[in-house]
Amino acid sequence: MRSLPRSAPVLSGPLRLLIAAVLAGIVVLLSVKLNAFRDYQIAEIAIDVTAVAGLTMLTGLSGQISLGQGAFMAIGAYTTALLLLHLNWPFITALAVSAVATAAAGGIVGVAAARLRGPYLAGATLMLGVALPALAYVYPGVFGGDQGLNVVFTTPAFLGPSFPLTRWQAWVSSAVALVTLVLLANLHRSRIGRNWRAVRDNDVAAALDGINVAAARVLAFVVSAVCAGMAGSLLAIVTGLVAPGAYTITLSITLLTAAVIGGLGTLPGALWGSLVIVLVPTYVTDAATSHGLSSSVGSNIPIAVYGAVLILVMLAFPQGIQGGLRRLLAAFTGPDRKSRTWRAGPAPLTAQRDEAPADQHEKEGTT
Amino acid sequence: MSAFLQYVVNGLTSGAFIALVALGYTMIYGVIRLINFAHGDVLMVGSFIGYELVVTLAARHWPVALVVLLALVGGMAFTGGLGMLIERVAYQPLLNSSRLAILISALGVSLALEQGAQLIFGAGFSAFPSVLPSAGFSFAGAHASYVQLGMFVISVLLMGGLYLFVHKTMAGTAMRALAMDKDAARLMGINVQRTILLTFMLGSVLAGASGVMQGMYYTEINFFMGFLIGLRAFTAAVLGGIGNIPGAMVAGLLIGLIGSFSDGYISSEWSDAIIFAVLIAVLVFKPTGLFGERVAERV
Repeated sequence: MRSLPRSAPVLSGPLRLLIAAVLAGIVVLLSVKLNAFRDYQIAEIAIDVTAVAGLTMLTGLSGQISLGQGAFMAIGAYTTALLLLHLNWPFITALAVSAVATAAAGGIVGVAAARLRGPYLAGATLMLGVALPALAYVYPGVFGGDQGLNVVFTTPAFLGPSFPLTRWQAWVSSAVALVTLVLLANLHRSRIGRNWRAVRDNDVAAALDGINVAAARVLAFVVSAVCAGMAGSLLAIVTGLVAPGAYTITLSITLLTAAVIGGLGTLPGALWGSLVIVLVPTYVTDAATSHGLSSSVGSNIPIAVYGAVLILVMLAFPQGIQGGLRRLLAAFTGPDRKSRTWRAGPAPLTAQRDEAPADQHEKEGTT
Repeated sequence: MSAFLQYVVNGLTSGAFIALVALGYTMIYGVIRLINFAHGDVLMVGSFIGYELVVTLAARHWPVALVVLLALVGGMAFTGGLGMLIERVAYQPLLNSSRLAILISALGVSLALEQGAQLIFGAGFSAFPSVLPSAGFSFAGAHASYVQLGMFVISVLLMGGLYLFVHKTMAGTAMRALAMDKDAARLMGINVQRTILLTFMLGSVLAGASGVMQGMYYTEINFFMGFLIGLRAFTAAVLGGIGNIPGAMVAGLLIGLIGSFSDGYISSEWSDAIIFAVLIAVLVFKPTGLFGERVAERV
């Protein structure tokens, strides 16, 4: 028996805008009520949401794993930093140029990646994530080497001199994140999103249906790279520093973790996953210090607990948090007949087990 | 020329360490389609076990050969058990869910092992006591120590042993059958769970051997060492064609050589970029690695 609908229930256009507006309201309310540190965390979450949402489209919908999303963030961040430093461009222009630059990079990587499957794609993107940010060390004259580049970002004049910078950063980041989410939701629902799912589930059948499989795969990489580039651009202005230490392979892996923990292929999952990777380490640190653990132990505990949380969430919800929530919802409301009969349809030949949506990735060799 | 030979010697030594780890990646991927991110950290644990044994035994003035042997065997035994424990706790419950779910679970194990080791052994570098003789021999201007030679021989013996095990024994045949088709293997009466456990044990034992030898060779270990070695070893497994045991051996040596040459001739900052370039160049022409078989397209 299949307990989940085949794909995410897709909301109608006005409803998506309404949800985005509600989220924007929540962000404004929280950023005003909470202190500067929490504002910084809001910005951080919004940045992660932007990057993870792109990744979840790439890996969840088009079925291509990427362990190099952090490399695209680095491209976006360095582009923004260089434009702001040397040309004094306004941030919005720098953001747009960063998006274009990462789109080009994503296209190049996508063309190479479209031929690769499963572990080979994972290995290639992994080495991209390792090697590309390290080039900042090689050209210290341009990229500032280990020290990185400092970015100056200020609040606009119309907000008055006393408006806190962190709140403005949280607003800008959240605005970009929400616009990205709405656009990605549209894409998810469009012909392009359908093509991605078709390619993911069975590329031969997709090709027979007249879908240009390679183009669909490359486009997914471009979209995901643009999201990462904008996230990197935001990270540059929020932290005020672009240094290679922030864009290691650990960042790429953390982003994939967020996408999977939240629920791969779902946009709400990008939000849940980002909340987990930003908030869990902070809360555990707070808990550790308030229980009087020594600082050397206390500083190790968060990451160890974070590791345990990853294992436990995966054991409890193999489909991620969003999958778990959907299952809980289904338990209360009973089976959704319409989506089951309409979306589930006859099981594809390759689906062998109950957990079909996730299993498709395996058959495709996503990992 | 002498510099070239020296880089070959150093590259083969580090390549042998990488190849031992790459074998674990490739075997584990073969049977359960998992990139075992915790594999490098298993190596790190093996390294620390070897360190503790060497420190304890060397303080009692045991003969050097015995100390080294015990450290090697002890590290391998411990990591073998650890590998099986990890499989039972963190991977086995997820074998029937998405491959990415296991991947994240592996990341969790990796973090837990790293931070656990940091809690127990501290965050700094631990210096291996120098028990090994530094004597060696020179040829054509290059210098190779007997230790390098010995470690290379041990690595080759382990790899050869693994190859024979996988190809000549019943259990090895079961592993290959499982890698080919899990359901058909089960229908043939193969105990799938036990074979997966065996694969983890073998992979982890090799990682443990690599870890102990690296500790003795580079003389410094820390809790984070496994991560970077793991990345290169995984790259080697991909380069050689995942699931292909001789491929992983050759590609491991190759990556060791590339790393050694780019360290020597260019600069260590470029090493990863060059390995990446080689990997992409190979994958563009052979999308399944140097020796990988064509992935069976769905019919």
